[in-house]
Amino acid sequence: MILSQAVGNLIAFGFYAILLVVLAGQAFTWNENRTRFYLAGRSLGLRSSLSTFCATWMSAASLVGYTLWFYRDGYVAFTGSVNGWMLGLLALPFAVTRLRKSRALSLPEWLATEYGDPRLRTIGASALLLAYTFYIVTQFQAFGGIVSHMLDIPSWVASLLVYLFVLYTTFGGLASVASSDEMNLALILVGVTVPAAYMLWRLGTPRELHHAFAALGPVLMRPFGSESPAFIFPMMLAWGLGVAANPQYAIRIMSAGSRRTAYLMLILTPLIVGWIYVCLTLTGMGGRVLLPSLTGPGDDAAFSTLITAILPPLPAMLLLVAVLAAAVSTANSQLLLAACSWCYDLPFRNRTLHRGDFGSEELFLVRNRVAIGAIASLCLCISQFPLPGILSLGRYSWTVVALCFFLPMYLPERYRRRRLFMAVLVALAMHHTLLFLLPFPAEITMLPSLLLELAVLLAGPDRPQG
Amino acid sequence: METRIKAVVALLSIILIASLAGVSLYQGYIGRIEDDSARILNMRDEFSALDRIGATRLLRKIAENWTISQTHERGAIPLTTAAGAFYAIPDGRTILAAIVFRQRHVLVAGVIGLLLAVEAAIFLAWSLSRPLKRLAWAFEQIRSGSWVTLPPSRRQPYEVRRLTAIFNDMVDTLRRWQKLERQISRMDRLASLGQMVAGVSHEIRNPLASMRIHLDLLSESVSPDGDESLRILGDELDRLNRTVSQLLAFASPRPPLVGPIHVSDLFQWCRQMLHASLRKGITWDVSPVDDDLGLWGDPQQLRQMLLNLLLNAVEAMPHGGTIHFAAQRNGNGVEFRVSDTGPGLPDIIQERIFDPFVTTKADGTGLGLSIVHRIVELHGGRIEYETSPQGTTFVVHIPGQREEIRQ
Ligand SMILES: Nc1ncnc2c1ncn2[C@@H]1O[C@H](COP(=O)(O)OP(=O)(O)O)[C@@H](O)[C@H]1O
Ligand SMILES: [Mg+2]
Repeated sequence: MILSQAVGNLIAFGFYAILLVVLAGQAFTWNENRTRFYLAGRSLGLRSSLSTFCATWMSAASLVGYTLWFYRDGYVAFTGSVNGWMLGLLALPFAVTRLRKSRALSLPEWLATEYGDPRLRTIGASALLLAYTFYIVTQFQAFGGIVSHMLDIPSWVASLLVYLFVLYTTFGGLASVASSDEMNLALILVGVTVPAAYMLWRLGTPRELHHAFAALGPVLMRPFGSESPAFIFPMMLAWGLGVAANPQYAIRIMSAGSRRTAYLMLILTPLIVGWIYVCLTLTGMGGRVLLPSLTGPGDDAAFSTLITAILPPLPAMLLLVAVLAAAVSTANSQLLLAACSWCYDLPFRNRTLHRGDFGSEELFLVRNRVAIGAIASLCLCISQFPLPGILSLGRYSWTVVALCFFLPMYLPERYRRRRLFMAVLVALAMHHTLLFLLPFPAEITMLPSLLLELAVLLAGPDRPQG
Repeated sequence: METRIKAVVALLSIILIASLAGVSLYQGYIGRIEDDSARILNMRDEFSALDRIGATRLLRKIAENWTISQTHERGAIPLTTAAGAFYAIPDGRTILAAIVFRQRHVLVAGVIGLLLAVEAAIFLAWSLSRPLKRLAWAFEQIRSGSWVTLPPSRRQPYEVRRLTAIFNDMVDTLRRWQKLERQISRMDRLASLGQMVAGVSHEIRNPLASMRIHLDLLSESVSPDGDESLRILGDELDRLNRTVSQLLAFASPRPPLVGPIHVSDLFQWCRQMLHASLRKGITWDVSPVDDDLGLWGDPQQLRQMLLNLLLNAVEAMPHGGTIHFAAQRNGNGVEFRVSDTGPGLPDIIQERIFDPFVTTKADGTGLGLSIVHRIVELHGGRIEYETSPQGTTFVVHIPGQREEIRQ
């Protein structure tokens, strides 16, 4: 059984590889320029926008992490993560008009032009670069862990595989990322729906499943589990803010073909993402009913043990492909943004280049690709060392991104003449002091820092004209 | 192109990987069955003492994934046991799965190889399409009117270098063509303009002559108060007459009356003509000429030509400067050189200075240089100029041989 499962997974892998090569990824389009590379020429249709938004939304870590969390602790997983993320999604429509009005090609550039301070671009781009680098590392790690368990191969080989998939789709810029994301989303949807359907087929209606799950322990049903709401709430909020300020979503708003497309994308996303979470919930619930106790050394091992134990080969295979698709689709868009920050936003990088000339535009895009390759390789290397703090480092850098981007994106436009840079500096200083002094995670200390930022911004004077 | 190359490379590598993996799996499978069969045949005797369960157990021990059955199948090995005759049958699917699992690294390596190959294919496509793209860009530029040439590079492959060279050649040729075409269209324009101007000038010249005569007659009978007005009238009439003569000289030039000329005579004459202007802070710097430097040409026209150039030079330096005037033998012709230290030709008219009526002066006619050009043409010569904010130099080359001068 175990044996043929591994073989099946292997086949699934090869299948994904061939599908990707055949269906997605045009690396060098004929008439490319930086707008096309970063924003797909601001002309993505609804289907592309929607799929790239949702596929980017679902990362391997969240797919695996959510299912396992639900399996272990029940509905608290829902309260803690899904609600938080959806909260962030609710905020995004408010940024659409502002983001789309500007001709900026990246969020740091937008920030700098909107608030008239080039230093914001540097600080935003640095935070982004850092955050995404760590995030890609964790994607590689999570995926490498799962796959090395499922295929029984060394984890660096598994990471190398995702690395290649990611590189392949990122080289072509956002258009290629978006087109590969259409495929990825389809695979994710199939990959989460089939296991959920299998659970229902095996264990009865959702209601029966729910009852069976409830019978396992009352703590599973509590919305806050064994934690206190005081801990879960800020966590939720912090996640929501992280989503709302995440440049990978902002970029998708900017790259949509029209404002209407952007709004429709944001309206339809909850349906698709919601569906995915419902399926994962059913799978987690059914998993707990079928296999009440699970012991494994780590999350990755636990997940692969769980799905091989509770699912027959085909659904398990599909779920694996879904995890793969989620990892690739999230990592490639982040890689693109990291390269954009590095090549385009960090100001000392492209002083020598000017637009319009064949050589320089071409050189600029080649540089971007080199940066993509370099950042991905760096992430691959880092992901192979079992650095203990990397997860918390990743979460920490997210909070920095949120501090840089959240308020500017959602504050009413009449505050755009305020001295944002100073406010950001003050907030960052507070954030770090708190982190240093108190034993709280970065998500928690971010909240008072954000409040301080808001206060400084509202109380502060306008920046001088000129 | 990228899609095509990618598809071909992907197909190739899939075929390669599939056949390699297939062969290796097949061989693994065959080898495994052979090993197992050999082992079973070796132990054959030991089965005879066992019942069916015992036989099954023993079989499991020596060869995994084999089962005992009563029916014969391909690859079965007959066994005699205490419970009767059976066949040992390999369970092909499980064995294959086990082998696939054992060789999974080959397959993973295959997937990695596929991706690497495809990524290499992308770069191949890029390196092929880049020169094309550059070429397309260059054509685009040319279409929109700016002449670009592609810098040749040693690092490019031969084919691309060749293409670049051909392209650059083509641009050169096109450019020359365009120049030629401009010249032709200029000549056309001048021809039609010339006819009209000649007609109009003739019509004006005759009344002008009679006006002059009558003005002179009038001067006797007019009171002294009107003297000043009469003088101005006369000057203006002269000016008009000059312009009309210039127009005629330009529009219907007479063919040059060729005769031998001494360059030193020409210089002498020019000097006299310009005597008045020379006092206005302008230094006159004439290179000495050989007394025997001579040429064939129309003396009147050549004088006119030099005078026009010199007058322009003087007019270009209202606050003084230096005029450099030289002539020397060049081949069997003579090369005249008129330089000034003025502000240079204005950019906007550079392309058209030899066209008639192109002028930047408030009271200029714009005919001076066009007449110069005419005369040079009639003598079968060449005229060139260099200009910079530090000054302008006109170089006229008049061939010396009689045959070269158009009659
Ligand atoms: N030596 C010179 N330096 C600067 N500009 C010159 C010179 N010669 C000619 N030009 C420019 O070329 C124009 C045309 O000259 P020309 O045909 O002689 O007509 P005109 O002298 O009546 O303007 C002049 O108006 C002047 O702007
Ligand atoms: Mg003149």
